[in-house]
Amino acid sequence: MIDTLQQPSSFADAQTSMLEIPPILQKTLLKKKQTILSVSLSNGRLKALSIVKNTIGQSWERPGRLVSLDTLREALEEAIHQTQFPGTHLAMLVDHPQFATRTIQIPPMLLTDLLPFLERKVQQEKPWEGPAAWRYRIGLEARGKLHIHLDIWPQDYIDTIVHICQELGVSLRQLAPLSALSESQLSTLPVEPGKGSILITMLEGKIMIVAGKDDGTPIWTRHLFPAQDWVPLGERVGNEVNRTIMFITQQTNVKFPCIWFWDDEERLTAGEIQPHVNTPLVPFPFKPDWNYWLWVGAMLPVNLPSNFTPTQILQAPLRNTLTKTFVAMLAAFILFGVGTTSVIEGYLAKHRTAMQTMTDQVTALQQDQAQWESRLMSLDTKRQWAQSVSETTTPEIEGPFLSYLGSIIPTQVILRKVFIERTQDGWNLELDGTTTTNLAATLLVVDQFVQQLADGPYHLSLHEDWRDQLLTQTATPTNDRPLYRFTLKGTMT
Amino acid sequence: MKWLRPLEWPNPQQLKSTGLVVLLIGTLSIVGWVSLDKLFTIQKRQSLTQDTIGLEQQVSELRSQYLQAHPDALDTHLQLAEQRLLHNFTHLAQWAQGLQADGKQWDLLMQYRILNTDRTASPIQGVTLVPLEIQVNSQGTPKAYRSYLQFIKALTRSGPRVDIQNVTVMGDGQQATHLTIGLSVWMKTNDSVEL
Repeated sequence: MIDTLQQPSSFADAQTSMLEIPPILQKTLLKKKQTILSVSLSNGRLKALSIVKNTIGQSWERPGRLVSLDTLREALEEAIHQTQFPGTHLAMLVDHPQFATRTIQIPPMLLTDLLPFLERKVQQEKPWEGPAAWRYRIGLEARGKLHIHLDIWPQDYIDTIVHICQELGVSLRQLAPLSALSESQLSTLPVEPGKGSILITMLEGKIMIVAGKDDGTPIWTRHLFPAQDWVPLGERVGNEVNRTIMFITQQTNVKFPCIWFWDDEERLTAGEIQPHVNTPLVPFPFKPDWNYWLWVGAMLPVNLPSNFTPTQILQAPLRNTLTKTFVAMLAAFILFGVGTTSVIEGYLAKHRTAMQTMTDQVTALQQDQAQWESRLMSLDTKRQWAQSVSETTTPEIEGPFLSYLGSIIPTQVILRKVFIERTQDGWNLELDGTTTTNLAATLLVVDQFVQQLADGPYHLSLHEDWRDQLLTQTATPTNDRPLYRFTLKGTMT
Repeated sequence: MKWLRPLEWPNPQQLKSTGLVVLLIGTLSIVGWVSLDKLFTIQKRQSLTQDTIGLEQQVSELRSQYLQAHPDALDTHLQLAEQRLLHNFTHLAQWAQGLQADGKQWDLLMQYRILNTDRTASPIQGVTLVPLEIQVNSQGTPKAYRSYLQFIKALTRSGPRVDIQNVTVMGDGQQATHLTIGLSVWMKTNDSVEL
């Protein structure tokens, strides 16, 4: 179903929605006190009211000549001058014979289908050649049918007004039909919950019958032109009101306890209508003059469904504001950057000497560190050298071993040669000796000698070939004593 | 001359917009550049502070290590080490003469010779190993073996660093007659000295 009640749309301006402005921002903008020139242009009569910060200023009505599009620029310029309007915003409420208003009944459909449908309808309904701009509002929704209220304006008319506004340097905020005034008043009427309200107004000779829900939402709008002179106006209005009430009641069962009527004593009074309707007519709570309507027109929300102002025009102030904000922020950022940099530069300039001192200090410390490292290395090198020279890794056992050898050598053994050679792993040993005993005794003695060398403090490892040497020898007598030679070889670790 | 197109000047609004954009970019660039420069300067200052603290700690630790290494005791160690080195060949000859004198006490005749061809490579910088061969003969003493032992003891305690390579004691069946000692003495390297 369609949920675009609050969404204005136009085929000529498909992305119409000024609703692209975030709602929060809209509220903020609406809350802002407005300075706006409210202008009404109906049947060539131009009236203007200057509103400065939500305060009504001077009003002005162009005397004499009728205002057309050709003279609108001049008229607006004069209005600004006459009302001494200081602002740039403009709200225009326009009524023109070319403008068409239609209420059509359609079955429910998706928005994507509705818009082309309405565009075709607009092309059929427009009473002029050339492009048309249109706005729609979904009104009564009952019994499976939608009632679409269409406002159709010539696109050229809107473009001309926009162009004039640009030339005058004013920003168009509202461009709506006069009927928007009556519709906006529904929300100001006291209505019981569940009931409806009907308001009859007569603006610039056009009678408007507006029906709404209890929340003030308009569901039906009818325009009457007092052209049928053969029927009294009161009777005609009464009949149309009766028809309207009957139709809405039939469709929605909404009851209308009273009919609000803006009394225009000059042309139509409640007394002329009341005899023709059963529902009591109640006069509008106050007697509004034209300035009131201009005020109402100025206060209409910019997202009004019947606002014909092009979206880009509506967004222009916001865009300007955002641009200005961005530029201001950028300027602030630059100023902040320059300020911060200046402060830092000042600080650094002030402490430049300290920084130089710190740099020198670091250099001195680096040199100091290198010196201390060099000293430590030199100390270590010298200490290692002294240690290498002073300390002996291998004990000098040659002397003590020879002394030990002298103490253990058997008396029967005569040594001819003792050879001790130092190697990387220890010592090589060679003992060359003779005995003067018989073989058996020699074997025994040498064996004991070898055993002592192996067991003693030096733990010699001697080869066993000495025994074979002795056994293979033939005794050589010396002074009547046998002589055996042997060689002991071994290692000491 | 179709290729010569007339120069089209942009309208004032475009010029204004372009100028503003250029001005904005220029200003932002300058501000950014200067800010960046200052940022680096601040970073350098912080780095310097960190370096100073770190270096002070390191120097303090190095000084502490140096003091703990007792540099005063090094001179003593060096002196003791140098005492164990022969200064030169004159010193070597003096040392050998001392040994000869010692040998005479025990009726030993000592002779030495420097083995040029069998020189050992020095393992320590500043030190040269001088290979020697010492020949000791008994001069008729009956207890030559004991004298040899005393000589070896005197040799090892003579002062200079002596690395004995081999010892050979020869006898004639009655007594020890000959002692040969192959050794290396440690000598300070002197560039002017050529072996």
